[in-house]
Amino acid sequence: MYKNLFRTNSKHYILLLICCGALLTTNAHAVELIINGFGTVCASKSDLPKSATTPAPVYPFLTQLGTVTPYVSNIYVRPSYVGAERRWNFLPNSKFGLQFTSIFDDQYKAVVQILGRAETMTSDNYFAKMDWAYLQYDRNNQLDFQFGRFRIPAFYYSDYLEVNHAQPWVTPPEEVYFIVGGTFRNIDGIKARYSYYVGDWTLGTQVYVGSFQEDLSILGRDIVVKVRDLFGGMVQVENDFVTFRASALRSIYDTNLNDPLIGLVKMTNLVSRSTSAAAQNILNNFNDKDQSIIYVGLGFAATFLDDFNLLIERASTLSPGIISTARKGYYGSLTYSWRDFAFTFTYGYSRPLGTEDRKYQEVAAFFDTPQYYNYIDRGSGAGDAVVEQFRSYLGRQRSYALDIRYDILPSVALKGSVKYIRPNQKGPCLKYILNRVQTLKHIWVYRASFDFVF
Amino acid sequence: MYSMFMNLKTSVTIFLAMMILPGVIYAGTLYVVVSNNLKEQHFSASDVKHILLGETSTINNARVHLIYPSYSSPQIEILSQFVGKGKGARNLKSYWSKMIFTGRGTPPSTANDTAELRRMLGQDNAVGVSTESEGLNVVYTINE
Repeated sequence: MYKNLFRTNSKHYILLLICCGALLTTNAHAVELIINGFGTVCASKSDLPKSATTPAPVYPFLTQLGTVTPYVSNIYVRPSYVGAERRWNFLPNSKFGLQFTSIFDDQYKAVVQILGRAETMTSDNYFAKMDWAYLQYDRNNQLDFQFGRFRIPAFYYSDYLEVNHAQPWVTPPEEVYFIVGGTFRNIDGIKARYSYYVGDWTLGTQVYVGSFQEDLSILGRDIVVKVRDLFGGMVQVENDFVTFRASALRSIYDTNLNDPLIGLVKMTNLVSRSTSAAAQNILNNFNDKDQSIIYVGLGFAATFLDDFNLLIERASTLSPGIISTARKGYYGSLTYSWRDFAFTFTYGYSRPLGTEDRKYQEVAAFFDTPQYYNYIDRGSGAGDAVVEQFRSYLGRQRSYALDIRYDILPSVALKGSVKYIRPNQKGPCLKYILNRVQTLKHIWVYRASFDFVF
Repeated sequence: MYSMFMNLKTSVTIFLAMMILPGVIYAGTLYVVVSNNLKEQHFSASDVKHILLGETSTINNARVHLIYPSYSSPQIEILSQFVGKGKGARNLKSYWSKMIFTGRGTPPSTANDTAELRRMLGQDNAVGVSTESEGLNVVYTINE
């Protein structure tokens, strides 16, 4: 647990030290320090089973030499849907954030945001980390630059994704906001923001470049994803009643996620003294180096009849390499406000793109080849277990949610939500979110939260 | 008996009117007031809106000190509607959460009463809203 505390990689320390040093400048008469914060205490539960097992293939070294048959080990898991497991649990979606803003003069400031929350990509660990740390230069009222670690403005609510108080839901719709799990949120680099005002309309743009690294733990394996040459942009046009938004980014990644699969394919070729077309396909297409990730997001928001808010958002990611992020998701939310209450109905949908289907077909074809089956697998079922893992990425889902919000105070809100998720029957739904859900049944999720800002 | 009842009815009506009317007047008009160094400046409705939303964060190359009424006061509703954030404090509060936690804006100070507002307007480049105009530098009037 403690290794995750203030989890950053070493090259960021210099930047953090600069920002911390800037924040802690003792020249108090010249520097204004502002502390803001936010928090969410969230309890969630679903009707998923209390526990389940998932078959994990095990390939010892001797297996790959063809002398020992691989085997399948059933791994114990606690199924959960974005933190909602069978019992009421306060940990996964609760969080606390502190933001320190140090204003040096009318143009320069430093911002550090520390976030504490449960880590959903690993186990039940709770961690605190520097979520953001950047220096900002305000050129004028329209243009500013940020240098450091900042949020990727991919989604409509990206910039204040952790500030649940500013959102109508208990948690944002997973079909869009969890399209790549809880990862790929911040970037180390430079961002420029420009706003242009024409009458009642505002044109907001952001462009950014940079890189980042994610250290993940998936089913007990340490996975490193290095993302570089990332560049992207966002355009938002709005007035008091409507908002149009579009964002896109492209990057290159390297990861060690694919090592075992590629090793197995190469060993199969070696042991069988032949290379099947399916094996060649995997070697050609399942690369884990120099692969691109493309993200495109669209959003539309409207306010009408004073009390109604409509929000529609669509997101898609495409990665041709080993990382399974070829998905599309969208949702539509309608909120009705009445006094201190707000009622929000949300419909969401998510499905894999054709690239994901093709990846599955290629993996299934390899594990079905005589070369693999006769020389390595020999009826152990290990190949089927791998294929099943890939099949789970094909899950589709529809969901319907009702959120109710009550503003106790202007800075404090109480929320509750009920969500019904219906998978299709093509494959286990939701596995793509890396939360170890593997089910064909519908899921009910209940959440309640207490959100505040200060 | 009848006249006594009428007197009582009249008294209650007057009392209720006294209770309600100030609120109505109070809630109907807001004055955008500024510190002395800005009193000669001309502000259009659009300028005022951008300033109150924190989108215009500097005037004359110096940072604006924005002063809001308390979020639990009735004026906040008029202010919220004027800046296009709808009724109630919720949307305005959400908007400022966005501004603060994206590093775009410095949160406005809040003045709980006119005396506090007057004191806060003592610093340069201060812009606030008030239900009173007497003795203050009014640069714009917001009508409900």
